[in-house]
Amino acid sequence: MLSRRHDHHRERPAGLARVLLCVLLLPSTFAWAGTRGNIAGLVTDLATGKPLAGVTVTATSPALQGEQTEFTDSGGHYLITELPPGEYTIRFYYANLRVERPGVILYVDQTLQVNAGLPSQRASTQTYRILEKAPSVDVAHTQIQTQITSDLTRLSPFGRNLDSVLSLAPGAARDPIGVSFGGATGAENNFLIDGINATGLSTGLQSSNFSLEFIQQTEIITGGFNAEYGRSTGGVVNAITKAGSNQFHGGTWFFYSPFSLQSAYIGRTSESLLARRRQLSAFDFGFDLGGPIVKDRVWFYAGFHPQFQTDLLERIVRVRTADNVDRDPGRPQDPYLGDTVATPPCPPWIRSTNPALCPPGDGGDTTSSSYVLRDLPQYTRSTRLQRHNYQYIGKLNIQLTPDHQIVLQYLGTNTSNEQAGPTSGDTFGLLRTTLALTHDAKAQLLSKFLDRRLQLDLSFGFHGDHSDPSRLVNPTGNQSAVIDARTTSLAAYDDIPECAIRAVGQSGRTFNPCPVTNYRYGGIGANALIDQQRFTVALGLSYYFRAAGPHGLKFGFDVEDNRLRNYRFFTGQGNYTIQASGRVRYQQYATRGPDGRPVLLPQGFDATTTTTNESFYLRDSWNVGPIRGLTINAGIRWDLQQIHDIYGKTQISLIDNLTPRVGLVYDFSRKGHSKLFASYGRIYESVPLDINDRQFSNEGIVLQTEPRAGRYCPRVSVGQALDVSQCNFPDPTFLNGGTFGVVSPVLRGQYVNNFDAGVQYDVGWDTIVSASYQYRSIGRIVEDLSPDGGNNYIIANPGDTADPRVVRRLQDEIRNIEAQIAQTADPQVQQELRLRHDNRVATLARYQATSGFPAPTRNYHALILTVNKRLARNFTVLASYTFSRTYGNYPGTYNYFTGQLDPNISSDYDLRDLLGNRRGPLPNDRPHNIKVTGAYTIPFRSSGLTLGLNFSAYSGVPIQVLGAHPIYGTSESYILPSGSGGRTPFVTNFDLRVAYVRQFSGGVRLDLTAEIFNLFNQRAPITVDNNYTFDLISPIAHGRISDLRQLTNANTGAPIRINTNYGQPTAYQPPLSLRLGIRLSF
Amino acid sequence: MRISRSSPHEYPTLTLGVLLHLFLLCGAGCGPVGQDPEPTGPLRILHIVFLDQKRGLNPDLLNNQPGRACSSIEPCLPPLQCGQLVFNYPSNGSLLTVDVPDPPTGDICHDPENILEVEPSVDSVIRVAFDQHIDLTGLELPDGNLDPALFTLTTTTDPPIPIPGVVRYDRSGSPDFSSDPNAFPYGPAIVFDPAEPLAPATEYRITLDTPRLRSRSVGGSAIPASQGTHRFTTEPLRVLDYLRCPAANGGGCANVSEFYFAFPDPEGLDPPEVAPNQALAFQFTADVLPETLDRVRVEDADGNLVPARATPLILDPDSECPPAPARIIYVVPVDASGQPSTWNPGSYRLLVAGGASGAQARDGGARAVGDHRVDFTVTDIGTEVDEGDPFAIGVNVLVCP
Repeated sequence: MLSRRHDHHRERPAGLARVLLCVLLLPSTFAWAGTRGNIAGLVTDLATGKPLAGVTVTATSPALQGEQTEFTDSGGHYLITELPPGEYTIRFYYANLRVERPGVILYVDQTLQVNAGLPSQRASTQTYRILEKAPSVDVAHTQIQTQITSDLTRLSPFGRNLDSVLSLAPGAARDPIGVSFGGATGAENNFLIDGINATGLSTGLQSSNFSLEFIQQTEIITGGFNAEYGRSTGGVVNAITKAGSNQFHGGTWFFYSPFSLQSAYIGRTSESLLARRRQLSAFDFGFDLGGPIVKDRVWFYAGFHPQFQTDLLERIVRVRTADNVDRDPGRPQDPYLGDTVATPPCPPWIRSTNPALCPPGDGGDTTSSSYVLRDLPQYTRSTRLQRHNYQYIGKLNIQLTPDHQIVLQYLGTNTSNEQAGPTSGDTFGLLRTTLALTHDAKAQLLSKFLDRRLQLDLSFGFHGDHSDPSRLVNPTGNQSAVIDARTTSLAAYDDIPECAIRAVGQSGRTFNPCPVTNYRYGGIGANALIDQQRFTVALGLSYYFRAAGPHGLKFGFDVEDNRLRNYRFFTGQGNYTIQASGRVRYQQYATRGPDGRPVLLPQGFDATTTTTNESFYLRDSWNVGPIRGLTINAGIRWDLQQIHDIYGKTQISLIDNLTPRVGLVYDFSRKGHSKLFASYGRIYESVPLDINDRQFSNEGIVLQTEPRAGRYCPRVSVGQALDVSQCNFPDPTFLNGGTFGVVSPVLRGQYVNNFDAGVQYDVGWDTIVSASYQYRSIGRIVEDLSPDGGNNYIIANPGDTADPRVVRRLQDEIRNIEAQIAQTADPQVQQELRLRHDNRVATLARYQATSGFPAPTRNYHALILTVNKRLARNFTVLASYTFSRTYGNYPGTYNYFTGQLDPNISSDYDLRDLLGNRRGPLPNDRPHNIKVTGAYTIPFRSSGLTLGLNFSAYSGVPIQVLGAHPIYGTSESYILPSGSGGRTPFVTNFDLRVAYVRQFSGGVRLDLTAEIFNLFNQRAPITVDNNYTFDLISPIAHGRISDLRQLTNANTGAPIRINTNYGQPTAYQPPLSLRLGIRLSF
Repeated sequence: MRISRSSPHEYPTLTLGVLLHLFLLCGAGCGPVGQDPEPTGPLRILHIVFLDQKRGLNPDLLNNQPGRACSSIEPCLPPLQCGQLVFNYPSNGSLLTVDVPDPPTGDICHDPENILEVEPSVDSVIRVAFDQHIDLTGLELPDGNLDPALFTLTTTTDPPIPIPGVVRYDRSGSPDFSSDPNAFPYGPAIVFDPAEPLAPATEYRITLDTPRLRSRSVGGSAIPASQGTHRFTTEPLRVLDYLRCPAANGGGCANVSEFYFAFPDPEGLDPPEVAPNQALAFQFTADVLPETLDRVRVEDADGNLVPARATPLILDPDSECPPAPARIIYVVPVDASGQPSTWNPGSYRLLVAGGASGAQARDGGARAVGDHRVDFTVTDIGTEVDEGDPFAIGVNVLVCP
């Protein structure tokens, strides 16, 4: 609808609005990426329908310095680029006529279609306003993206930092290390701060977790990636920070969380120790301020946001009872294990899958019994754990001319976080504080040349992350750690008379009332001081031209210099592990000396390694002239990676990561209100620096085990602690590692293929609904694997077969080296040649042997339905339902069951024997995923009441039936095919926000808020114990639950001991908590 | 069944049917998807493997180890032809003959002249691994073992002598692949665990009750009767190899597990090397009876008898080790009083007298043991032998096997 403004006292001709709204064509709609968006359109003559050339089009917004002006070309098209996200008014000037379209809300990475028809025959000066809903569908992109605005995060209940909104994307769900997108693990995402890569360098996790108070908009891209995006096999998160404007805006706030309900205890069934942790209180405050330094020229934005949290950690002690010892048929010389319960607890989600998965009843079966336990409340101990987090931001937007702008910004966080020791261990003696600092800085130049047809975007970025977990609260933490892998007694460590091992019953059987397994004491143990730095230079060049329709051609490249320093050490120089046999194993860092023998590193191992990343991309966004409404995005991206060792020498060079990106968009409404889209793309992983640090640093671990000449530790029985000062391990002879990993001569990059198709439609009421299908599959992975049962490893692409040409090339190379050795007399040259020769021989042998490994698979199918109502008429909603399945044999770069996070060198493919039964639903397989987030404000004159709701519901995750692998140990053997254990329960959660809003004069606004998280205190388990047994056992190919009868230990042949904790929760939903807040903004 | 493999570089295809299928599966409770389908069809024997925990040997009577990887340490073997000679796995280099499946018929082709040698150890178990799980209905005994009639082991003498043992069913393992059949046995399998060691150099016959062995898949069928009998011959008693430390020239090994077995070079070009104060440990192909240890002799380079004593390897100072057959023999020089002494530098020869030692004492066959010798040298290689070194002469900090 179009309305005339009151400065012209003429009635608008009947039907004019309708005529004006008769949008004619879909002209230039270009897709860009990064931190800004575009507005394009076609201006026509209402009377003739012909394009109008020379119409002046301006875009103004509080988010924009000055205004941006363009002229329509001979085809009537205009395009205004590099607009910061915000609400715009688009004005069209032609002769004396002025038409304006307010309320155009532009998000980052969007291209909106704003067309206009002008009554050019009217000579008198008039201004018309288009009242019809502004176009809101991005008709240029095929990206599946979720835009989370500050409007939404301010009105709905969320946490205080960026990580709390990431799971709002359709299909996304939290996993133990982050948020999973598209079936990937939480370690496969790319995090951008204002377009600059801020992903953790070492393992690919989220590194910078900034305050939502500083973030204007978070863009989460989960599919349909444009060529500008890469280095992620999960999702891309692009956080756009706030900026200043011509008006002073800012605010100050204070939020306080006075309590949360009690959390559940977590601990192993039948063992003595349990722990629970809950948030005791939290508060944060801060301010932000933005405004002009020089109006329309220089804007600033600054903020400071400290956050404080106190958790309460409690540890309780339980004892087994021995009331029935004389009724037990056991032999007098056997220890009494405790009174058993008739029916061991079996979680309902296990029982409902198949009762045969439940641990069997006691019946004298001591291998799987569950025991009667009694609490000893007098020994419950607790401590408070503090977390402090200071965040700060400073930003300058400088407009040199309307065509040349500079952005300078810096964000930082400073965190200290107290951590306790393990539950089964010296929980309170091993307290420590981790200090972490992150820095993100950017300098950006945006320029337009050649009558704005050529645009330049040049950015310099820096991301730094420093982590020091070694600040000890107690000096005891600096000693050597001792881990007793046996089931021992708490009496050895805590002065609890009730735990003393004693004789019970008439026959005086030995009884341990307080069994604990894997108890850890002494010192902290493994520790690391980590510095990560990334310098980025990125250049984008855009050029616009016409050829069978408008084209927007973009070329860009970026270079990243990534650096990781990892200083790892054991407190007390080494770790002691008391093994099941009672023998002690000593673990210490070492490297390999020139003679090949271990060189001990009592102070730890320090390595700095680097990786250089480059990417080039070229993309054309073409509005196909003959087919109105059709846009084709075709591009190609080339990623390169050089992985360097500690000497700076390239060990892995990935140079052929060439990926096509194709997308089609068709606006069938031809008004910018709809789109049908489909896209295909291949996205390569950026291999994190963990592989440099672990494989190309000469890191080595010495394991010394008794008995051996000169090696000695006093024997400790159950109920005793080891005095490590009496131990002596002087003579290591065997080194694990200490040399560089061998790399396949034809190693290629890891990637996923992504296909999306869907429809999006603006149904009115500022609401867009969409339906789409997404298929993503992993194509190739990079992993270390051993073709000979763990003797030798090679970093390769499992599933690939050895190429005979490569074999011949290596054989030729070996022969050449042999010839050179024969010809040279210089011993040093000979030595170097021999080393090279040995490396090539090993590479050839291992490369030939990689063929037997099965190809990795990870297939993700998703049907996604979304509703997005942007904030208007006091109401906003973001809702989605995703039905998806994720299955295959490769979960990703994180192992959910062992907790190993060594991207690309995990244990997953180490042995082919490890892959048995791994095909099936993957750990992130959550078929149903529902989310509703929204807010509604009930206005009362100058005040209002806002109700915000955040609802989520997820299917549980597959439960496995795991055992210990004969070589790789606990949780590595899939006894039954993946997913045979059923699924954890459905998880639902409601968060509620109630706010009283009062508007004062001068634009000052007061918000008083009360937020309840987990409104109904739902306590579903998030993760459960997947270990059916800790005994060594090989997978049962095609096994069924009925096959779990009569399993035997692979080593001893004895019946396996079933883990009585199998299926029991290891983490629950956080309990109900309350947060109160006050915010004053202007 | 082999794991189906797709090209790692395939481009995605839109499979609405797949999604619909998955959705319907989810309607039934969102059960597992993507698992390998359970194989169907006639039950087949894929492997008959002899597992020897002590020695790490695992010859497959059917020579059907398709997935065993190879490397610079384990060279790839070419596909075998019927009756072809192969080197045994992993390191002793002894020549063995095998029966290999006849590809056209799928039956076993037997070569009566060249039959497989396997080790006559009590630690050896025989695993008959199938491509599918077996229907155990009516086959299980109350104690969880299988009816012994399903698997019988006898000598090929007339009349045949049955070998007692336990027959059980092991569900674990994959029929497709094992990088080390000792650590990851092929499965599912019928396992025969002999109650006593097999005799050296003796021919045996395995007989399976084929009509009763059926797959558990719907309509599962029995294995062909032609696969019901298999023969093999055990090795004679001889020195198999000796314990060697990789760093023997520099300072010894960290513990016993770091020693590895090395095959004595038949040409004597690279003899075992020990320090004067170190014992030498030899491994035999079968357990040597304690009462026959005096048949192990040591001669010097001139052929003179060197006073020496052979004892079973014992590695635990806290254990009281009863005399028992042992495969690893620990040889030390002794002085005139019979106490452990040290070696004089020089060349030596270990001799195992034929016809008088080993398990042959039980079965009375002199053919079980052949004369055997191993050369070794003693040099002052500077090894410091400390307390706790299992190979230090006189310390005897050893453990029961």
